[in-house]
Amino acid sequence: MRPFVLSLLLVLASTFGVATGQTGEEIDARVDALSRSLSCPGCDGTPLANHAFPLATDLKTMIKDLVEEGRSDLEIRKYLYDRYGDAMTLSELETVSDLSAEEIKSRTETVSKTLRCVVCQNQSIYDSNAPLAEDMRRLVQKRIEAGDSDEEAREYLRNLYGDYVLMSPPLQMNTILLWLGPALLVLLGGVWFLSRLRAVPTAPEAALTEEQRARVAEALAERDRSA
Amino acid sequence: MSLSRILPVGVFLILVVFMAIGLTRDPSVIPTEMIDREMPQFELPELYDPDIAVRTEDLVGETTLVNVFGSWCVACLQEHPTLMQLSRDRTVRIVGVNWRDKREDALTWLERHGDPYASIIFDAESDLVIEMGVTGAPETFVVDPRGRIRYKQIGPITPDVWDDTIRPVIDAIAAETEAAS
Repeated sequence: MRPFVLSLLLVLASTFGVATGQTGEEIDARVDALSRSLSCPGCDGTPLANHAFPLATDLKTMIKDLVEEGRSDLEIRKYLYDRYGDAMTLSELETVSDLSAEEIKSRTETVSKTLRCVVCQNQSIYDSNAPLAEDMRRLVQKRIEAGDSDEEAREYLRNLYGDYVLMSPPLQMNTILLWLGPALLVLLGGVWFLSRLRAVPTAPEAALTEEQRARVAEALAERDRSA
Repeated sequence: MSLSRILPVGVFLILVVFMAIGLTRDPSVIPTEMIDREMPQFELPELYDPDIAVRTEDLVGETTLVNVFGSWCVACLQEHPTLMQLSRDRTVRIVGVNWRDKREDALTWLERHGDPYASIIFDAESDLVIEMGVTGAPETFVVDPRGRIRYKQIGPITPDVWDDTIRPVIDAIAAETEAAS
């Protein structure tokens, strides 16, 4: 009796997205992303999302149920892979690039120069001969061929390796000192200089005493005589 | 005391603090972005049999150590006895990523030093390794049964590293899984 009540509660809860803490939109977005990255069985490797015949609709409902149960994307992929095998794996779509070979080469070069080699951190992946840098250059080229903008290709690697992979640090909260530091130093130096100017007033000309004047006059006279 | 006296001392102290922090950091260790992300999608040949494809889905279902190694990697030899011991004790499933290696070299290396891996992904051109944000070998990822990366060890797994950092992560995952079921 109790397991039955529990599972009923769970089903009810998951219907309202309570069990997994996901909103309806989040669930729909995940189902959409998954069905675009999985092929539908017997549809020549086209994405499941493109189809609405009964099996495809059932599969989408199944994916939605699994998402609502709180399964991870990978668990859902495995679930479907265990049942349908290769029939549901969508191989990367061949994107026919309309860029010329020259353009791809020069853009790969431009982007590669702005990415840091993670093995030898003072070189860009363009300059580095490290095998990993070579493979990263190839990945950049692949992204550009697939239609990424320079910025998107850079972001792709930044997503994997973090800000470290960028040759020039972006202006953001944790780098603000780096960017504004020099200006701040000039400002502080200026304040310090000005405060010194005011703190040490120019010394008044020291007046000579009568006795000193006499000695100076005497010394000058002495010099004139000996000259 | 006037500002002009305090300022140089203040600047000096700030520099000392920054440099002291700088000394405690290792610039060759790049913090990972991968924690709590799912394992990237991949499909690559198995090392022993290139006709068999290993895919992300194969890692789901049990906690797995994903260990990046190569026959060219000197530090990998240092952790190899630990991995062999873990494999003998059946402590945790270990999946290898044979990185930028030649197949024959890798097979010879495994024959000489032993094979602790449940299966080995052959990644000759860094396809998977870059997607995982790897910067060098050895690196080891702890992947939970749901396929999420929970921890990344940079450098060899010594018995100390195992006891102090990796084992607790695996125990925590086991406790979570038990609580969920």
